[in-house]
Amino acid sequence: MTRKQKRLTLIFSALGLLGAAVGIVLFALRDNVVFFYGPTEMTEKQVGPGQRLRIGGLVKPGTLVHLEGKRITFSVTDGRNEVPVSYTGLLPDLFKEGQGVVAEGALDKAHVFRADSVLAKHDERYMPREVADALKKQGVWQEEGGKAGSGANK
Amino acid sequence: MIDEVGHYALVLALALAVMQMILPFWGARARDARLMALARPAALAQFAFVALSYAALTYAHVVSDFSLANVVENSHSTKPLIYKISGVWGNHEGSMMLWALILTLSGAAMAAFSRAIPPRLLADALSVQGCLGVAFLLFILLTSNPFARLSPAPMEGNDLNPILQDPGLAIHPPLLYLGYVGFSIVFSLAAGALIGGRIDAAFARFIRPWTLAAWCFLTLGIAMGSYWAYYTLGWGGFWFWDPVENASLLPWLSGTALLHCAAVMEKRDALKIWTIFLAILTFSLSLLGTFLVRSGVLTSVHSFASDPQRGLFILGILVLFIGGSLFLFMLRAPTLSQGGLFAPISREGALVVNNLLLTASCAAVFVGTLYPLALEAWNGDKISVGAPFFNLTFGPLFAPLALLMPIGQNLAWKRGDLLAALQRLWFAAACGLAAMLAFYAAQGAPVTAYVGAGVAIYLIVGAFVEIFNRIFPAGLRASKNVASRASGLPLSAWGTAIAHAGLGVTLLGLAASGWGAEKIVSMKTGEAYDVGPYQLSVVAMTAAPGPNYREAIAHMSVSRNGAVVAMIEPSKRFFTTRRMGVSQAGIVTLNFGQIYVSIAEQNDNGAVDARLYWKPLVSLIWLGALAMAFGGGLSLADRRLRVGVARRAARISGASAPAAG
Amino acid sequence: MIWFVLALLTGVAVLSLLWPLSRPAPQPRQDAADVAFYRAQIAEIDAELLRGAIDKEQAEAAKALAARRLLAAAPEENVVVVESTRTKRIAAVLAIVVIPAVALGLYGRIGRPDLPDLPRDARRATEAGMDIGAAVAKIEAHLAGHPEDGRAYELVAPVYLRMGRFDDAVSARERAIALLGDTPERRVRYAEALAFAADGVVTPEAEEQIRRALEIDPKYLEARYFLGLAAAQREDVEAARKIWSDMISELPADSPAAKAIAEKLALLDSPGQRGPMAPGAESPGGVSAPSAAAAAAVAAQPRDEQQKTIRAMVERLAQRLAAQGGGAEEWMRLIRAYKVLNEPDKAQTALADAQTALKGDAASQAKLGLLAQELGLKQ
Repeated sequence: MTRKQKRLTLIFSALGLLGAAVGIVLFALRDNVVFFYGPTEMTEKQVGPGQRLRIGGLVKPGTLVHLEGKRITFSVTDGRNEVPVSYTGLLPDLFKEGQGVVAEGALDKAHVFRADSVLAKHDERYMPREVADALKKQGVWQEEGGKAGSGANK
Repeated sequence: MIDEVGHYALVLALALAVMQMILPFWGARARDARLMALARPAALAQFAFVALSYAALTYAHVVSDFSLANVVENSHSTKPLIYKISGVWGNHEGSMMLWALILTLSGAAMAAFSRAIPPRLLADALSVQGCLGVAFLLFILLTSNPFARLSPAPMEGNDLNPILQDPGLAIHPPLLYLGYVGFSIVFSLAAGALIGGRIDAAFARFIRPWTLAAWCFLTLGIAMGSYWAYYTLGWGGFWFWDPVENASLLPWLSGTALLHCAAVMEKRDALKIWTIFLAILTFSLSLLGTFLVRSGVLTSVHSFASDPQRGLFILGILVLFIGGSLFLFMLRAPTLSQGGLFAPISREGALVVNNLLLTASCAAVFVGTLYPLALEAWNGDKISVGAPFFNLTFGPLFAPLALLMPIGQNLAWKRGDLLAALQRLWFAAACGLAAMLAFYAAQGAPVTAYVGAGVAIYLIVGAFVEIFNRIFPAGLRASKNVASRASGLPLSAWGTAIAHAGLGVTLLGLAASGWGAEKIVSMKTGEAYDVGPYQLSVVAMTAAPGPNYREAIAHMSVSRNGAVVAMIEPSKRFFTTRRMGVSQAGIVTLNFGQIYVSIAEQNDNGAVDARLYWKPLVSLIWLGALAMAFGGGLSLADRRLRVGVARRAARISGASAPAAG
Repeated sequence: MIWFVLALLTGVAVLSLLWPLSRPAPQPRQDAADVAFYRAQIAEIDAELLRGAIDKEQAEAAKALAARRLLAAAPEENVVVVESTRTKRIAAVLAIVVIPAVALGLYGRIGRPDLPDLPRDARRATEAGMDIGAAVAKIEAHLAGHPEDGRAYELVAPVYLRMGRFDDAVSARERAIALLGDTPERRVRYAEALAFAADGVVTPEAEEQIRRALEIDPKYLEARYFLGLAAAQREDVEAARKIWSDMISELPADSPAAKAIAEKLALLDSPGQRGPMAPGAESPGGVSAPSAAAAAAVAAQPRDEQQKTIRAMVERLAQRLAAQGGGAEEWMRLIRAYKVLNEPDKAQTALADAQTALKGDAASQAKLGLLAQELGLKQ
């Protein structure tokens, strides 16, 4: 092969590979992306059963119920709307009523959100970004540590 | 006074960085040897002052000096000593201090150990390093000052986030930063070479040891971080495709490409433009990772800061350095001369394919990490790109790499013989196939598990084929001079083989995860629960006080076929200051596999909810990474001694030439 | 002393550049590195030839190539390494001027050389104040082993209150009652903790505790005070007035408790005037408990270290916000802090300032509005 041919072989194989990579990425992006909604957005967007998504908000106080066999149900609220969630498994360490939570799963026929994973916020100050945004949008965002004593201590 | 001395030392380091940026650069333009030589003392002094400052901050943490806001926010007087020390970098300000410390350490190392680098290149490179120092020290002093004071000082601090109070945190960030920031040396050298305009094979020689060192640290850092997440987060997962993890994977992928590409440039004077580009890209990805983690753009476990001012500042640094270096690159790249030629099927060709695959998988991870951010900025839609995306994109791009790796190792430089290379690999391929069948017979489905395990065995065996052929050039029967040939092999050959085999070991661990078992049960004392081939039962529940927490411990026995093989003690800790509970997983390693248990609080009826996992061969994932880093270290040891070794080899060859002729 | 050390450090930094400047310049050959590199490469080729990896012909070709490259790489520029006294002088002046100027200029703006170090052990030795954190930790450790020790709960509860750990205080008070038995005193303390936890509002839950205290001892003063407070918070002015008037009539006229209650009574009569009221007073809408409880309590809480610290921090926050402005969260924190420190007029002023500062930011305004409502501030 001449110098030029070698170069062309190299360039075309490189382009071919990059093309394949781009194709795979685009294909994967189309099918493997999960949307994030707050409870209000879920109502607005009329999400149908079976579509995978993440929801976030606060665990509505008084709605956490432990059922048989580690099944639990609770409601996620953003102050306006709420979504009932059911989940089977162990809750994360920081899962508490009134605290921020993100759940991933899909709605079932009865409009109950079946979560297959539940994430809670990771420390006292941290609220999942999506949750904070969703709550801000609904105007119910409050600064954490509402007690001024601890607030002033920071 | 120590606080303020530390603060002042940091400011002085900034002043020195300014001088380091200006004087050597000017010297290189004016061809003034004395000014160029100033880069060295400036870099060393800058490191000394940052180290002094860092020591002062550590001291303040150790003695719980609550007149520093940083100590108040992240420490507590009852915290154990080791976490007082590691807590220094367990927060935004402190971790930036660690970053600056390692940045200046890199500059100092370059100044101290690069006698071989031409003075002009060294002057320009250290000037660029000084520029990085100025940017990051300014960032610390103006937006994230760890020496901000409180007056009057509170009597007690808020404590460090309990998740971060762990030995893993003590090691993970320094290793990771040594990797991240270690690439700054390579970046500075590349930028310096672009400024000076002289780029030849010798340049690759200068950057290889630094690339290798940074790569080893990054490998260890990523492995350590993954193991830390594995045992602290209590989910049994070791890689979450979390943006922060991806941020460390990106420079690793492009750094791995750089490592191989620099080898081609050194040996064959080819792929020069590509090497320079990867050198810039790798550190740019490190900077991007810093931006993602430190600006609060993503909020996840690792993000302790979210302040738009900081974000904008780092974004500015990012744009300045990436934009500046790419601009230089654009300016100079067309002037670079063509290097050595090679046929598509050759060692070089194989390394080009390796580079393409690595950068393509790097790009896929990049897209998956940044796409959600871009989309949200674009139209406000919030999405998450999770494991399915990465498995689908990263997997197919990385898999051919594994298959081609041993083949490439067995191709000759310049023009290779594919058939011969494949012939040499028949044994490795046979081993792989046999292993695949054996695993299928023993463990069965899923497909990914036994196919992956077979490929892994092929990789491990294949990694050593080249060495085998060099020791036994005429096959096993002609085993003359074996010892001398083995000892005559350069360390770097062993290093390469071990590092490549390490990747196979990691792959084996990953593949075996398909055979794992997982269940969530409510465990009653005395009853046995199956997980994988083992039975677990709770022997007793006890409570114990810790230094700054209370702990409830479940003592469990692990038995197989009726015989107790191990005890396991998962627990739940409650940290009083932050009023937060943390699960401590119980882990026991059995034949490279692990039993992993994490528990929730005890129920009213005395049972305890637990997640039980059996993870066969899981420890190989991290052992493989250790092997990779060890292989890198071995090559590094060789490289440092290279000059002496080469001289000895020359003497031997000179002495034996007449005899042979 | 500190300035001496800082000057010394500056001197070291400047000298680290001046000293190498003063020495003769190193004279490395520009091409030394290249020669070494290609020599090593040729040696490697020899080694490969020796090993039999390449044949003699290939080795010769490779060596020739390396030699050609060495020639190509050898730079002509290396001859011109100048060394001028002028640049040396300029560099020296730059080092002497720029380093101290940058260092002192920046440090002067952000440093606090006036503040001493305050390592905790040294502070404990010099300051008489008891170390609350350690004491609490000790009691907590004790309680982990002896969860039936009600006295310990009683001991630690007021400390929790002062540390701002209200929920812990509530549960400690609850445990104390369960373990030590019911007394009006314990019920009132429990109610007090509940009120703290609810930002000073006497919640129905707290009121229930007060009533149970009064069931045991109908004359118990503190319980009656809280009952009045609860009524006042409900805007039930008549009920509050009756309760408090009765109390005053039973107390000696010049006792501090009577005076404090009289002050409260006076406030009930002028509900409209909330702005320029004397410190220590509060509006009926949202009463903050700390000093209200303290005023009624026979022994007022001493203003300890903790309290002072909080005040100082709040003042600093206020100054910073006034000087540099800040986000809605910070303003809200300040307003809340004033409310709890029982300085409603300052809280009111801060609210007004915040509304001015954040003008145009609708979301922040809404949040401020909500907060004002919650705290009973005038908007």
